[in-house]
Amino acid sequence: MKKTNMDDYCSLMSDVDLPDDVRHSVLGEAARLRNERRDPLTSASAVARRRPLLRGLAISTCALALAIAFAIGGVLPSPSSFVDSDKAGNSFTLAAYAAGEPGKEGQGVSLKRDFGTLAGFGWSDNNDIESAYLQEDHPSSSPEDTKGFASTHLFLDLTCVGKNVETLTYAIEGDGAYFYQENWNYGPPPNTTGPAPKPQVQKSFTISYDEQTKDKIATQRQLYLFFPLDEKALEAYNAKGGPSSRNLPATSTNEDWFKRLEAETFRQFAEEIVERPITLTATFKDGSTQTKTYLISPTNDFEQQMENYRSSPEENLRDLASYFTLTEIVKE
Amino acid sequence: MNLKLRSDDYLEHAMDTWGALVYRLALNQTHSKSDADDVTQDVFLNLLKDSTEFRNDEHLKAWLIHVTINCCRALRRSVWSSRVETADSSSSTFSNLQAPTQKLFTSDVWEAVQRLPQTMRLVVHLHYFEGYSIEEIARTTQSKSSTVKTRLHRARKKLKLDLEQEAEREKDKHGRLLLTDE
Repeated sequence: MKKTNMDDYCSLMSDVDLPDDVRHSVLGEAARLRNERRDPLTSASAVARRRPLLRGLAISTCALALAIAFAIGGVLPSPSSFVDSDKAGNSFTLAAYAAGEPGKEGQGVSLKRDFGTLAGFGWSDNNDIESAYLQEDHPSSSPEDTKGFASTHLFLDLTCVGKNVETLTYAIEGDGAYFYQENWNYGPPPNTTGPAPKPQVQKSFTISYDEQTKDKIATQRQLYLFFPLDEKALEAYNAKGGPSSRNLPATSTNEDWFKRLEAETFRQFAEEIVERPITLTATFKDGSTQTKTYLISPTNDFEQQMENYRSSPEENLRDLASYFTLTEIVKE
Repeated sequence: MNLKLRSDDYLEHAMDTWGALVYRLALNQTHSKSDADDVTQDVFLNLLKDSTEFRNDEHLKAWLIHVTINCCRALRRSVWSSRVETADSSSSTFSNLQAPTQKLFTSDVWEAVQRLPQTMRLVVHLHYFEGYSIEEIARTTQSKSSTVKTRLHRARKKLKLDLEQEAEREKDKHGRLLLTDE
């Protein structure tokens, strides 16, 4: 049997050093940031970082290809906003919307697979989950109200593309809907004392347009939706076959119960999320603002997709592109 | 928002002292030269903007390892990591690598380590290369010691290391046998 020699690994690895171009790139970007803070109007993005530049180019290329496709096709109804810059040249749109293909029957755009994934569900007998995230002292339901509550968590790519955009503010409307954020770098370094900051949920947040890539690296953002289970979902929640503690993960013994509960919760989530528009407000470098609203809605064949999920062990709910479309509503 | 940035001198000191450590860990985790470049850049730009008051270089080292792991994790989640980079020795990508990296990428041991799941690779790298104990790795990765121990044990099995020799190595270092079958 061939053995792996870890001494070889150590010897080879110790010969590898930090490449000079990476070192120069870091120092160059540091210089750019310093200049930007001294003179934010003239030096912004003057020296692009290697990786963000590649990423920016990829987004621009994708969007440009779409703009060209629209120009050539000339008949595609949407996504219109990607090319609707005003007289000052200001424009912005959600990259996922720009990259999506127009859906059937005016149903917004179909989503690319990388737009979003289902991060998970949570259930409880009362809505303490939401209270806990809001760090409220008192749960908003009393024990006698006890029934089932769910929380659904989504990873969404909320990257925007645009021109002259300074900052972007994301807000979500409706009860029980929040943006969750967790700093990937939050953990206290080893050997230090003190608790790590608690995860936060909030109705809105603002980020700098130029810092979007950085934000994705440093911050985990999810969309959280808390809601009381409706009759069908509650029936699944209370059905026999579940674990003694309902918040336990699925095991071979309660897999069927778990799958049914997930399906009913996801079905209800699809009904709820369409009532929670996401509003994006771009503030441009000239001080003007523009607001756009996006709706995540179930696809026309959502029921069929759910049937596929229920009947096939291989199907999963993770890929939101199979189940949802994105629609843009422009507000002046 | 106008946070104070660290000085270039500090950034250079951090890169001189721990730049290679960050880069090697990023290589181990991403198995891609360009992704490792990007992760390393992001880690030090995080440091530039971060306001932690480091007690000493060891504290800085621990912070850098922690942030590197997080950046690699974030990269895996992003769409940008979906591209595939080959280390085929005939490719132009390969010819652009520094000689030590070329040598590493073409070695049997690299191939074996890269076949491990990411969490096992991390534990193997921190233990064998950085010389971290199981408890230190557990603190750094915010995992339980038992989890780290299991991952290391499974990694050793997958790597077909000589388990008896490994057990002796552990005994010699700590005076007791740390690795046991589950």
